[in-house]
Amino acid sequence: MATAYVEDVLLVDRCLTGEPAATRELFRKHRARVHACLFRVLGGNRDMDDLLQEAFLQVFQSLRGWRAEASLATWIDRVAVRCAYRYLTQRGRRIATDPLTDEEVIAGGEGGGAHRQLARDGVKRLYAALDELAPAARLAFTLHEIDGRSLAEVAELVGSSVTATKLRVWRARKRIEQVAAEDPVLSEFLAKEAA
Amino acid sequence: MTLKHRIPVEPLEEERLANIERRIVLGAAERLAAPDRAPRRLFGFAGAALAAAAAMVVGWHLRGEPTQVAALPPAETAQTFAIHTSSEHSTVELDGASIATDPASALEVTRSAERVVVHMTRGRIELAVAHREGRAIVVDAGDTEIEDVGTKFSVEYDGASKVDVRVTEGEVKVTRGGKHDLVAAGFAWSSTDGAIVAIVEVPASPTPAAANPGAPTVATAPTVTLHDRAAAVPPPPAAVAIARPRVARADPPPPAPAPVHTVEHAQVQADPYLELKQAVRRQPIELDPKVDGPGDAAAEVAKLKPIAYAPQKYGEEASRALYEIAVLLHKPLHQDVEALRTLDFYRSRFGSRGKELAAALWLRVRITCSHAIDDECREAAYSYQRAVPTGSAADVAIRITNAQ
Repeated sequence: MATAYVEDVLLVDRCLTGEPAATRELFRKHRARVHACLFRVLGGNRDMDDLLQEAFLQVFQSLRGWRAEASLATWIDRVAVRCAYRYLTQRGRRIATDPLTDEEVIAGGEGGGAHRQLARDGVKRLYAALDELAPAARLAFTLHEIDGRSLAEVAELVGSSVTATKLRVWRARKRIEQVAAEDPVLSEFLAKEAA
Repeated sequence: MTLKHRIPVEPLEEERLANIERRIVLGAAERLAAPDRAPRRLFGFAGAALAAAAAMVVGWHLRGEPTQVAALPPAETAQTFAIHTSSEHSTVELDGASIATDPASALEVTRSAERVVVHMTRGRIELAVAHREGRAIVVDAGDTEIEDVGTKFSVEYDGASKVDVRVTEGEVKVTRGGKHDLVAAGFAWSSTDGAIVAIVEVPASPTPAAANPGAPTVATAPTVTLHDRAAAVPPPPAAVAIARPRVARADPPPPAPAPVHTVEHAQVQADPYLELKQAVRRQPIELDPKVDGPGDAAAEVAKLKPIAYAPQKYGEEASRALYEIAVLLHKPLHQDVEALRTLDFYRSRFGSRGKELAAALWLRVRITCSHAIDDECREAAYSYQRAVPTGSAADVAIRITNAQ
């Protein structure tokens, strides 16, 4: 932990001197996690390349402000989450999502064509339901339920209290369940998840 | 409901990733140089564009027709340009600064993201520098260094030992032989005696252009004489006439030549807090880590960071390292915003437990009050005088707190 911490400090110092190799190294080290986080919050998205790029450019713009109080990864995630939040608020709640390909859905589970179709439709309808949520609620819900982060971690990322985060997740869950009650595909998809 | 690991993440293709990486590497240098003030960026750009447009219009009218105007692209890495003028004036625009050179001037401009260094070999230059956070302009003339963060001033260097600095707006720091002088707007500094004197305008004598109106127009330098500052500055600050020295224009003057015989009126834009600012500067920085120039300072900061930001177990060592980082950021590196942030962090992390607390409080006074005696400065001074009620620095802090 301490070694990783010092490595982060040294890497940031190299980045601050404008060393391109350090910039590349920082990007490669964190890109997969940041991309996954953005993807889970926003869904398959045509603007994903631009979002990932903008998130990292924001990271570099704010890099002098990293005070090593949080780990570099957490700090970068916070910047990425802010980027996602800005995107949600600027573009409105409805996002042009790309349907998942068969290969991507297969990663989600076993079964034949029917299962894949259900997963594909389920994900699509889930993100359509998420589009109706307020950006803050969507962030809290997706980071906790889909990205698998703890409530405390989500609260830190979104700059809110744990109680407020918990409340947002709970409300978002209720809303999704309401939508699912009227949507058998989403309902079945969520039921399979629960099973 | 748990959806964890059930929503597959669409992987990005290598080619797309490579493209993103390339754009990030290109954009990172620019973003690193930019201050982290995203919400105000648009206003900043709009303001800078307006200021640049206004400066261009004013400059155009004041300077006549410069024969050469070059706009250089923004710096990503340190670059050096040589400028030699034989018989013509020239103007170089770069990074929000305008450098106008007189004929027979020779200089080299080296710029990086944080500094623009103008190394003069000889001649005379006029600079109009838009303030930009974290970027300083330094003119290096022989053994004299003139540092500026946002102002208008001129430097004349005979190529041997004589350097004249005249400030028309803002404030510059002149360093020579290890001695620092702050020269405020309306004042001039000369290497001959190292004294700061008020600029007093004298009616301009007819220029060659006036004698021959058909001749090409050439901008001329303001005609000024130097007077002892103590005699020129009216005693009560409130009574100081706020007027800028006029620049002699290239327009044809009146037909009858104005005689140059006496000083008609002193136009002094005096800073009422100049003495106070100088008193702040005169106080030594405690626990000042001695380094040789910005390069060494940056290396020292990199060395101190792992200690300063390490977990609490480092204790005193960490607090000392953090304070030293703030000093290095302020003094050789001229990154005052970062220095203040570091001091904020020092206060939040060590508070009254930090052994360098008094020194850190004074450093804040020094940084904030060197720019302006404003509320932020007074607040810093008040904090210092509460923590350290006696001593020469405390006396200065009390004077600042009471300054109107």
